[in-house]
Amino acid sequence: MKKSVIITISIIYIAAILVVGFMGIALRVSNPEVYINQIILVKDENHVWSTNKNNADYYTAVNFDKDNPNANVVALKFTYGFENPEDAKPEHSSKPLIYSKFNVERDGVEVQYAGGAYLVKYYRPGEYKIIFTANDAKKKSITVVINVMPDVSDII
Amino acid sequence: MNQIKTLVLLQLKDKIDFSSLIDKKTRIRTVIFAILKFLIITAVSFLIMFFSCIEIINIFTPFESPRALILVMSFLLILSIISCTYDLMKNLYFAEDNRVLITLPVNSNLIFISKIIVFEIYELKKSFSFLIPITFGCLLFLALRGVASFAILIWCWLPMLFIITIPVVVGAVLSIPLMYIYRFVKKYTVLQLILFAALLGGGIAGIVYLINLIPENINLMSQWAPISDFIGEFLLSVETKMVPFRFLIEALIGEKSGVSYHFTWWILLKTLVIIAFDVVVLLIGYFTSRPLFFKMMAKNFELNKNEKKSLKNRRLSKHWTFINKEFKINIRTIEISVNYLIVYIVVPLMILLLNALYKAMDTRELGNWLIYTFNMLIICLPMLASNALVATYYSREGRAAYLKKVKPIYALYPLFVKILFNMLFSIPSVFASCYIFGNSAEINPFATLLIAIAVLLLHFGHMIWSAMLDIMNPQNEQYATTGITVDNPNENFSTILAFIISILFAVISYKIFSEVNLYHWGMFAVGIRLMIVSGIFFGGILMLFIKRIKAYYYEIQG
Repeated sequence: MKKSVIITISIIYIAAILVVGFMGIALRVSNPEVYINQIILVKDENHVWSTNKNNADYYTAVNFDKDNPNANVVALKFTYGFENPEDAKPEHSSKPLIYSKFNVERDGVEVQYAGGAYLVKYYRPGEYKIIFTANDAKKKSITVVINVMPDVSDII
Repeated sequence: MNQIKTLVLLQLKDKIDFSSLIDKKTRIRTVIFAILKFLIITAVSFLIMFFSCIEIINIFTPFESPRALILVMSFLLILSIISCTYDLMKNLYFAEDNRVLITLPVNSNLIFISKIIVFEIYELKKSFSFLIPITFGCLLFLALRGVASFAILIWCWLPMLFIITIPVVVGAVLSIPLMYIYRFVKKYTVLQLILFAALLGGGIAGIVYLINLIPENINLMSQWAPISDFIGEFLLSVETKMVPFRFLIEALIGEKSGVSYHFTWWILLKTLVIIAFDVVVLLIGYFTSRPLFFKMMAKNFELNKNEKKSLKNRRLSKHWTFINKEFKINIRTIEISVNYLIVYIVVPLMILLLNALYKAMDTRELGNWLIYTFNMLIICLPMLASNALVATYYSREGRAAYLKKVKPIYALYPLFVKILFNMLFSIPSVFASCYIFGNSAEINPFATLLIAIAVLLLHFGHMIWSAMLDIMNPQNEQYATTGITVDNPNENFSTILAFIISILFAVISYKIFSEVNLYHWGMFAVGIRLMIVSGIFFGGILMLFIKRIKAYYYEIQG
């Protein structure tokens, strides 16, 4: 192999490490304060789902567990199908909502479905709108807005 | 004295290129570049010391920085001793100019002394490229931070001269037993192979061990304190254990008193000790080699009758003949066999290091896709680039190339056999590289196997394309007349293709890997898709190769 080819390959090798190092690293947000805004509607042909009973036929709720804060993960669990808000508790949920596709309106967050919950992994403080699109054509979509507010002095 | 001077000048002309000093303009340019290079390396050395001591990084304090200098000096001197021993052995006992020097009307002792002087001058010249500027940069830092006196910047040149002489005189002594070992090993090919395999295996094992020491999920920010403490303890152990090298550094910077180093009369005494050491070891080397030198110098180029056993001529089958011939050509042609060794061993090691570094990073989803993509790129790029040599295989036959058309066998067979061994030798390397990648990225083994087959098909496709370039545009005349080509258009085009194909494959891989969540079968589906892409490429190139051979060898001739 010619010297110039070896040098070029070496440069590409170093670039491969640097590119991943700069573009692929997960930033850490320490001591985040996470809260979820009101969900926007879940609709199907006949029913309207909302957290606000007055606007809908059925009540739905989103509960979130703040996982280990250092792992930057929030677990979202949906419940649905209850007429009374008091009934919409996670342990009463018989059938969790499963959505096949997620649209993320803002970069910087990943969503995975595992163990009955949607794990939202964020990398930076900010507001994230996640739209869950149902695999059932009758149900439309559910939008959840998550706000991540860090302890400013500790951002790494 | 005159004789030594003549001998030194005679040999110096061969070793060092003085042509740049003839013309005034070239002389000025050479000197300016040399000074610039010296200043840049000094500045880099100074900055490394400076940044290591700043509060944020804090690897060591300015008063602990001589320990770093001891470490650097130890490393450079040990490397220098090893290379000087080998070079001196070749220079003293196996040099081509011995045939001429031995015929001159001088005592062989004078030849020995002249060779040592020439080697010392060459070592001094080499030291100005690296050892001296690095040391000077460190000394400048020590002086500016008040660790040592400014006087060391002027004083250091004298002990430095004798410190550089240490590898030369030690090498002169060690070259004698090394010469006997070298002669013994050269006699027996099996021993050479065993030694080579042992060194290669040891080298690979050492590199793999070092790479596996890289920890996972390094968080430099939060883990910096223990890392910094570890470095500090390591430097302290270097200072306490490397006593001879500490002695040399103290001869440069002075005696330690409290936290700083003072310029005292002890420095002069230490320098005298270094001079005495050089003289004593040189005398040992001189008197030890004196009874041997002339005899060994002459023996190593004397023409001995080579009694080779003549092998019985065996008749092999048509097909086996070509396989046997190509295997021997592959092994006996140094350029080809070294290419196999280097590329097919280095690539898996490169992938191992790359993935060890990636594992040390905490990556997000985009980072993971980039990791998969760059692994594909780094596996494919050197493999395909090495196929540039395949674009010279047929032209190497020189004027015997016409024999390809008269062989009593279907033309495609001997042409294909030429690249067969390259294909076979590349298989373990590709599988090893993909296994390392799959293991690091936690991809299931079956999917990894499919990805490896995809890379292999790509590699084979490019190899056949390179072979096709050489068949369609032969450079036989160049190989027939000179034995080599300086600028083979087939080689250049094959290299460019290698880069284009590797980058395209990496881009396609990125697209396929990033959509893994959409596939029902996950990574297995990724493997199938990559195999389809490579398979189409390989199938197309193979078909083209066969069609062209048919047209070139049969249809054109009617």
